[in-house]
Amino acid sequence: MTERLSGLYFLRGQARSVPGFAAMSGNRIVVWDENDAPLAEAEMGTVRISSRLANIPRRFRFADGSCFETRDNDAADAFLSGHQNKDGWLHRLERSWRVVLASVVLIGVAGWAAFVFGIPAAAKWAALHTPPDVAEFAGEQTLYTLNSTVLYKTKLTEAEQKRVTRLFAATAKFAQRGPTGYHLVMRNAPALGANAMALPDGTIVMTDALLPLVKNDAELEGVFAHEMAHVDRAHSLQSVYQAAIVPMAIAVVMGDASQIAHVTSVLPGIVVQAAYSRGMEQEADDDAAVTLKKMGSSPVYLAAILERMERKACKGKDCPKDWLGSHPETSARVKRLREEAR
Amino acid sequence: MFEQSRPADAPVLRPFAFHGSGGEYFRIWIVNVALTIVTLGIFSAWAKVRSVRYFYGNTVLDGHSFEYHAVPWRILVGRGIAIVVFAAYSVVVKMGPLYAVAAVVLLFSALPWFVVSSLRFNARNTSYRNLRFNFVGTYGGAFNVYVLWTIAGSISLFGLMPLAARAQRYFHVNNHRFGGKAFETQFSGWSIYKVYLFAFAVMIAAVVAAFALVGAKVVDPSQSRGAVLLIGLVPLILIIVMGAYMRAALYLLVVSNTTLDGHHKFETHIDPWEMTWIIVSNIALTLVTLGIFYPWARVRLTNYILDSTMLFAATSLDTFVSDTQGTQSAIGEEMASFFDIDIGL
Repeated sequence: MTERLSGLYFLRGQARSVPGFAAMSGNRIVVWDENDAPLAEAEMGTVRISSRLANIPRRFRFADGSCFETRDNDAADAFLSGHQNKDGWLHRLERSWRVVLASVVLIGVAGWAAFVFGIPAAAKWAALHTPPDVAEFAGEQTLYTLNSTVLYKTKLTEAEQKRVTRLFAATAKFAQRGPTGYHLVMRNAPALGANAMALPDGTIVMTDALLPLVKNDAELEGVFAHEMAHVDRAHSLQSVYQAAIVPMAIAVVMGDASQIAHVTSVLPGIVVQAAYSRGMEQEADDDAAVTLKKMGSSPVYLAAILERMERKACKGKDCPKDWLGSHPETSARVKRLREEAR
Repeated sequence: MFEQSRPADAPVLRPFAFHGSGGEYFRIWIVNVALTIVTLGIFSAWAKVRSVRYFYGNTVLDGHSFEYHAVPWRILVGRGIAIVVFAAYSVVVKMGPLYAVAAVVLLFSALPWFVVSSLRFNARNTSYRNLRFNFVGTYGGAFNVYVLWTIAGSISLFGLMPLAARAQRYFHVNNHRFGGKAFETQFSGWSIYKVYLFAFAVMIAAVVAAFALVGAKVVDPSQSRGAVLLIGLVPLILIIVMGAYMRAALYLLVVSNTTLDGHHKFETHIDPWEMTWIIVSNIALTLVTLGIFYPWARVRLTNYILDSTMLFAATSLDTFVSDTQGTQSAIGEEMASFFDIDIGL
């Protein structure tokens, strides 16, 4: 059977083309012009034929640099059936709605698995394998930035400072890194309210406003045990790695570095980060429960101070579900801690 | 017959057109992404070639489409090299201040090479009417515009940044060749300063407005979380909008001042604010649809840009011939670009 393909024939190295036809004769491809005068002829194996992609023109490139181009893709496919049709399978995949649907499902599942398991696991691994001096540097830099923005010199009295230091040391004795593993910094921070945070190098910052809120020593120990657990698990470094991996993964999968891809990969990173911090808070609560029990104390004290901190933060206002859900709802955490006390 | 007669050298308007569709590209893209995931990233090089082939193959000028010829293996190798260089850089830079300085110097001296390789690879793998493009920029030229001009822009506290941006665009456009003929773009320093100054003024005005609102207690970040959200989100949106605007304004500036072979003139009627709207709404829709809209977004922007762009051809475009005709074989042309890599700049 001799199919005739109509198209354009380009001489080598010239922008000018002539209308013509291509046909197969035995194992050879022959191109004629409209007056049936031969333009080119070559053995099939020496002609490079571009693979089908949607309906962009197909090109038959001859070894001498000349080229026959056709827009009639379906005829070209029929013409080539049984001959070289490299990458034709890709076109068949792209044409099948079933494959397209399966791809959507696969991407959804793979994306979900990567965000829920893959990325946190990779970030955790990297955080735990970061050299100590890098963690130290990161911690110093963070404290320096905080000091020059929201933290001011503590206004606690000497006696109060002594009490806090004593409780901190008592908790550290039973925490994973031991008495020398953590470093307490007390600061006045009106913008942060009653708060405590853990930095990568083992520094734990406590704000002045926390002290009037605690009703007894055990509650403050509970907060410290929670922050020490963040240090042990290198949670702050893990967050840094997660924030870096998410946009990178999206960019690779999206397949280009254009502006759309760039912006659309940064924003989900922020939202995803909030979800990850939920898991980390829970991990720190669980570890703190263990430490507190070892001390002869109980997780109920941590639960009590958490509840009070939340009430204080929402005082006078309708307390919305946390901002982007960045903290697990406190009631869920409190409930879990009370169960662990049993 | 009479009414068709006109001087042979009168410029003829040749519009660009885009024949692709979002639905068609969606299927190509989604299969590309799935195969990239299944092959743990290896297929991304093949995915890139298919995407670029789709966009070039559907870009039509004077009845002829463009074609992309890159061999995926070479893109894969290029990406491998880029990953190794970047990983080595991130390790060495942490080994101490002296190593860090050495790593930065090395990276900056390698950067021009990456830029030139990438531009040459893409140019030589692009053809129109069976004629390949070429890029003739040198390492020295790239070092000048990407390293020296960037340093000048930074130490002048961004005062020279617009001129640095112009030097980079000159390097990019003026070193491209088609059929041995040069592209050339030229515009005044003031015209690019206007774009930068406008964007700068908008950002400053926004910062002043934010301070005024907080100062007048119209919004109080210490009172409501909504205000915190507002103060965090508005600058981000502003950066996206002004980034899109600058991209559109610079496209307009460069393309409407570009010629090929001195007498074929490019022209574009894009409206920078309309293009900004397309880019920004594309980003929003892509986010809201969890990425599904992305293929339509790309097609929509390409459609808008090409529909507004045209070429005033001084002579018939048939007259172009390859500059390498008679001296190099078709195979030779490809061998010349064997060591070029594409790093997706």
